[in-house]
Amino acid sequence: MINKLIKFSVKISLTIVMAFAALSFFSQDGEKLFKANCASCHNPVKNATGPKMQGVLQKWTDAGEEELIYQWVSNPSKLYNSGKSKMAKAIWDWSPTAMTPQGHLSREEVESIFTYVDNYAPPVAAIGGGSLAANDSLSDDANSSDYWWWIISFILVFVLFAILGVRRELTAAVAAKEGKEFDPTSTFATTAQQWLLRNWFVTMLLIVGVALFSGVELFGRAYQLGVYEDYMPSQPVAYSHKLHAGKMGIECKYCHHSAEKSKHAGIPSVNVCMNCHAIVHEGPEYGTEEIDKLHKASGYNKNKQAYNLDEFGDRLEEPIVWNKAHNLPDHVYFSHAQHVHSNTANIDCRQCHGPVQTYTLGRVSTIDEVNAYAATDDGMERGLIQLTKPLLTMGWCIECHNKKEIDLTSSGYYEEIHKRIKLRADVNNKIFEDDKVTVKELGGWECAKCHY
Amino acid sequence: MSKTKTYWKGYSEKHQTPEFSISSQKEFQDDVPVDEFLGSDGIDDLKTGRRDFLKFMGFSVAAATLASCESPVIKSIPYVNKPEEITPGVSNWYSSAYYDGNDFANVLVKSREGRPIWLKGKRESFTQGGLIPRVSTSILNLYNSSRLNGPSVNKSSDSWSSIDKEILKKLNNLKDKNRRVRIVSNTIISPSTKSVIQDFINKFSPSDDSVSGCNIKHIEYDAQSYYGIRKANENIFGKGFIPSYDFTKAKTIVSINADFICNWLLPSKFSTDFSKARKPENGWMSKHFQFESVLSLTGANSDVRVKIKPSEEILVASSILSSLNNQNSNSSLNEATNEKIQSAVKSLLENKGNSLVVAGSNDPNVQMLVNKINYQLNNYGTTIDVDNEINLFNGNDEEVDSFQKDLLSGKIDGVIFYGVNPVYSMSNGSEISEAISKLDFSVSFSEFMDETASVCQFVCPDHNYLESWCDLNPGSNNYSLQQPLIRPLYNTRQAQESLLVWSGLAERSNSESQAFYDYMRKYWLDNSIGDQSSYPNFADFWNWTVHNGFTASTNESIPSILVFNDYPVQINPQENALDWEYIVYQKELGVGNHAANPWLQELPDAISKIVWDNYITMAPSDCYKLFGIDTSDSKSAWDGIHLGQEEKAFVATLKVNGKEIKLPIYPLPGQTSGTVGVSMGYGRGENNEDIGNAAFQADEYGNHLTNAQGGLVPIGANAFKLCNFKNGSVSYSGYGDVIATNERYSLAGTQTHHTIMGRTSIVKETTYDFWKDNHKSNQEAYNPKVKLHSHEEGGHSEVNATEFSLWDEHPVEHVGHRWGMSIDLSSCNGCGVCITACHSENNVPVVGKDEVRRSRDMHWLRMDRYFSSIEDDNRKEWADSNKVDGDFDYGNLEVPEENPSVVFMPMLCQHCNHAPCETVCPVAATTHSNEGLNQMTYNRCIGTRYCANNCPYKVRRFNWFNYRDYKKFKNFNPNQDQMARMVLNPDVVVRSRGVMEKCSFCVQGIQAAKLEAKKEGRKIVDGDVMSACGDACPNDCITFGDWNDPESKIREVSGSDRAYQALEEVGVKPNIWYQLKVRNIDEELAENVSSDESHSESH
Repeated sequence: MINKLIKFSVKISLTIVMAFAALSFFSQDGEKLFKANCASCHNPVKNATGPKMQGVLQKWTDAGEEELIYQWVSNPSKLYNSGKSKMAKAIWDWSPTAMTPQGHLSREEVESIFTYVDNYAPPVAAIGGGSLAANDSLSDDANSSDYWWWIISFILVFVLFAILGVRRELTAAVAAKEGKEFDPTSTFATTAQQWLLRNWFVTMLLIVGVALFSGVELFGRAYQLGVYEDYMPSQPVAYSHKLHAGKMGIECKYCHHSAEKSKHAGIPSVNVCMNCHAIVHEGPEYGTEEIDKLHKASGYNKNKQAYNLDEFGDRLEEPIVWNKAHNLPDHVYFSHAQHVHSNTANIDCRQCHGPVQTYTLGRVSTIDEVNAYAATDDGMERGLIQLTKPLLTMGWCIECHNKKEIDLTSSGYYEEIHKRIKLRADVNNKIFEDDKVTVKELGGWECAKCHY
Repeated sequence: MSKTKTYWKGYSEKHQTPEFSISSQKEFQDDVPVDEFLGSDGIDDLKTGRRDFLKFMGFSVAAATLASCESPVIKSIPYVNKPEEITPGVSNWYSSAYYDGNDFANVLVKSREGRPIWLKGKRESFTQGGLIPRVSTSILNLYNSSRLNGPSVNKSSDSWSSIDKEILKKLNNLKDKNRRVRIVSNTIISPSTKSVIQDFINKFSPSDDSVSGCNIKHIEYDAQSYYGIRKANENIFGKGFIPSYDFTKAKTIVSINADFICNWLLPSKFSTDFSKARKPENGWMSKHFQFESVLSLTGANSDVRVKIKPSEEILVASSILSSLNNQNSNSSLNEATNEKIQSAVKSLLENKGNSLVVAGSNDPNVQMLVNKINYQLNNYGTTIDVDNEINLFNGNDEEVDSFQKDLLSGKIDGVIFYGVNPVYSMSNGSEISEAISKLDFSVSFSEFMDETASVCQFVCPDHNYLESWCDLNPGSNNYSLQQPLIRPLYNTRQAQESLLVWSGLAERSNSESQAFYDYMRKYWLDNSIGDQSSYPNFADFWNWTVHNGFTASTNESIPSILVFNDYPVQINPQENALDWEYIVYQKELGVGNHAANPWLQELPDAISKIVWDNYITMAPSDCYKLFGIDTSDSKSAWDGIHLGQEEKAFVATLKVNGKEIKLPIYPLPGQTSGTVGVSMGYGRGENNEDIGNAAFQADEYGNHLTNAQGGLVPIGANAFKLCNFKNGSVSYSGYGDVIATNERYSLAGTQTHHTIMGRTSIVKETTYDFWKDNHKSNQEAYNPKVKLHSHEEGGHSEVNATEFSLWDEHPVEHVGHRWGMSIDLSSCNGCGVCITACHSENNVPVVGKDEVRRSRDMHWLRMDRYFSSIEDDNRKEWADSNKVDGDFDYGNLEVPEENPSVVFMPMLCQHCNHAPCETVCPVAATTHSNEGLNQMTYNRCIGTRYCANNCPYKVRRFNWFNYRDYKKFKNFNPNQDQMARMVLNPDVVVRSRGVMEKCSFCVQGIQAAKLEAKKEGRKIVDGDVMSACGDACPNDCITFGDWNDPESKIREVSGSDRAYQALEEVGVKPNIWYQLKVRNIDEELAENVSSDESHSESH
């Protein structure tokens, strides 16, 4: 009987826990939102590009501008220009870097971000170590709170069943004493079963409800499979794009130099880093710590300004093991050269990688970030297209191929294609129906363009 | 008398055996292998019920869903210091050269991020783009994980420095004691290597008589000897050389058992040259007579093929010679052979000075006769160039024989083996092995612990050719350079460097030691090798030579004045003591250097289409006699056809001089009655030598078979045992005994797979004379369009089949690109390089013998071999009634199907514009692109196999297993080997289980070429895009390009008079055209051949 009891209690507790887990999936996650939207410029506890965020809500409240802070978040320049806010002016004066508007965040989401930063405690352990190999963790945020939910629910369920078990034993004892008949074979399961059979309508409702719920849930989850938006793996060197591409204004293709030649944009080899870092030994944020790792990798002795050599005269090198951020499945052939070369599609890197100049480590942007950036003046100048599907999904690729136009006069290659299309009236009319030629119309939706 | 040409893929189809009828109805010849998926033969005993199964499945789905939420972190390691010439994701090409003692070819190697992954012949070079499958697949040998990792002494590994010390000690000891040492190598065609060997000899055996030293001699030894040619030339012209043969100029070619397209002397060049003279558009076509015993690839390509016995080679040669001199030859040859000899002589005389006679025999007497014939025909100076010698095969059989005798009698104290494996390739291997193991000093430079290395004291493994520098001098007017494509994968050292270190001329620094490179460069500078004068300095010259891979020689060659000496030829009729004559021939596997190469093992033999096996070839009629099968009723006789695939093959023992080998019998059409043939190159690793997993037989679960002693079982048997030293040279044929056994053996063949259901218009052929008369005026006569009957517009009419279609026109014409291919069947000689090139370019899985037997070979491109024979109706009647018809006795005539003519036809996805596969796919995984490609999208495919069922060409392959990690394929699939996995092409995905795959027209190359054109802002021109098969094809049979470009070559040839499309009547509008085959036979059968063709009986 005890066995059956345990079995049943486990089943029930699993059900409950699943429900909890599902709920937490829908709840606003301040931490995630912070990391996705704010962390590139803000640190909760110290000033970075933006001011530290912990206690910020309190400050604005103290200044009597509790409501205005939400306007600030959604559109800083609008609030500043309106002149309504003292706090806005103070921040504006504090740093010349304008904050990226976060209009896509709802008030509840912003609130959850504030809750998160106000409760944030900086981690004790330092990031990175002596080794140049990256950690294997998928992301920095271990879902520790989730684990607690699981443990607590287990304990609760266990206690519940223990109490119920005791109650049952007592009932049995009372029944025995009173000489009443007590069916020893009846278990929780049978009682529950009988109850469910008696209340068949509730049962039906329950079943339908559970089925609907899990169906929707499964569908939603399935859609998230293989979606890497917002994926930012830890890296052996805390390289900052914000510093190099943003502040220093170094062109993307200086480091990712095979982007125009190859399908790979290329993770820069250390010798590219050493073009500058043979001289630059100290950075603004981490001092010498991170740059020393580069020197170690390339075998450079910064004191002697020379490379360490082995007995055969080769440099004592130690390759850096990076964690790849942008992963495509093996059966997808994406060519950077096709997309960024000036004679081909000539697309700006930010179309797919978002405002990298505001990120630190290599990271997959979210479509919202890219769209937000596309809406900025810079984004429009760069001709960025707004898309809807999550980044690095096939839907996203073909959406763009459907929207992106090709200028048939742009190169000798397309001129030849244009000449041929004109030979066939039917095809010509179909393609030029809407006076524009998209990638799709020239075969950009065909499977073997990317899959082989 | 009407004659009908029938085409058949094998005897079973020819005679419509019951098995054939059943198997031809099946698309996939086996049921779904459910128990193999689960991988256990005890599956029936399991107690897993349906409910349990559902539970497991439910759990698995849940687990898989949960597991897939977390993606693995992928590491990425960029260069620390990126080499300037490497861009990740972009291929680099380097010139190099292949030489292994048996084959030579100039090659261009494709390298990705420092890994050589593909190669093709280099067009502007000595071999002019020539390639054979052995060279094409050699890239995989580099990654064989059985290669030795470091040197060893008595099989225990040691460091190079301590081995060097020990060897030096031994050498000095031998020197002090005045001992005899022999360096036995393959023919060295590298001038620097020769110099290295000489330096080594000088160091330990000084020529100065006052100094004592050991007696070191260098002996060159070729596994397949061509000593007969050198010896004959020595006798006739006073100089033991091999001249170069020019098949491009020869208008009549007579070959007596020389398989020059695939194996003889320098096939990588001859095959290309031969094909150049086989295009009727040249205005002439060579006429090729082949006299041979085993139907070889060369025989299959000949215009007139005559079956002779090996002992008759000399008779044929002498008969040709005496006929040239208008003498009567009183040879014992039969009438049919004599008749063919006369027509050959007639043709030779017509083209006097532009003909060529070659012989494959190693008997100097045969070669002397051939020399005399060529001399008489004034071929010296035209088709035979005596000033440009071929430096290959310098082995002297007499010298090798005396070395053997010395070794066996203990007269030799030390031996160094370089590039040879005499324990395997000498007929008395086991005695040699014993003798070597008794020696005081023995060194092997072998890359593997092979038969010879495992009995040597010291094994100092050499680099693979893709890891080494070497200069090669294959012909006297050419110096080729071999350059390394990759750092040494293992702790090996180039043999030349070892010798240099021992001679004290260099020191080994590290694994990337360049000692020999420096030596070689200095040697070139000091000896002014090559055409250095046209460069400002040596460094420039050197860099360009490395870049080009070769340089011409500027050595002022003094034209040789050869004095013809009518050396007497001995024609000793051999003692005919036994019933059978045997011949040891070479096929795809060569002399056995590549036995562990799964790509080569899985390449179907050009004629028999057997993979992974060795067999005895025998005339079918002999086979029935030997095994006592009643042939009185022809139908029932052919029911017992045992090709080994559907019905297990007979096994017989071949006994020669007390030695015997036991092998299955393959009934080969075209084999001379009374003879048997065995291929050399098999039976490697008889004593468990570790030469690579793929060299051994595996059972149906992929585990190696073991013999009674627990040892591994090699594939096939070693036919070198049957060779013997006779009258001053090694003989590869003789008399023997064939004894039937009761055993049966399964062979895996592909010839009955994917049958084409008796449809016509697949292969078309005509004769040169007929073509010449008609190609301008009446193409219908030899290239008829298939007509269908129409009743439209009130009346019966015949309309071209291509005008009917169920589909709407697919808009590929004149829009964007339309990729098309044309294959010239006339210059295609069926060598199979396209298959191996496709295999390595597209990561096609190797499936092994057992899976091939289940018709699950994965080749994206196959080489269909059709036998054809002209039947006349009277014979049929005669055969039916089994009696003499009137006063004409058909019984005395040669049965045509016993010496059929052969057509080779590369068959691959035809990329139909009206593709039947596309319309039946339920998930739209196979679709049509507007560039005319039939696209296959693996990630959409759910494996219904409807498409394969609906394909009229049977070119779709179903991926049955996870070949890359299922244990069944562990011993031969290269993807399962950590090392061999490096050969994968990163531009093509490795397909997983459950999807269809097929030729993609190398879409990766198309995409790359388009990108290149876009980047340069220009249109695509001919030559930008080439499929792997066409790129590697040594004969330029394959034209590939953009049909929508009016200036393209493909547009031109697709409209040529020889162009047709396979099965055009099914109306699928392929994007592949074939150019029909033209034979140079002058019989008056032309119109019958072209119009009455029919493909056996319809089903």
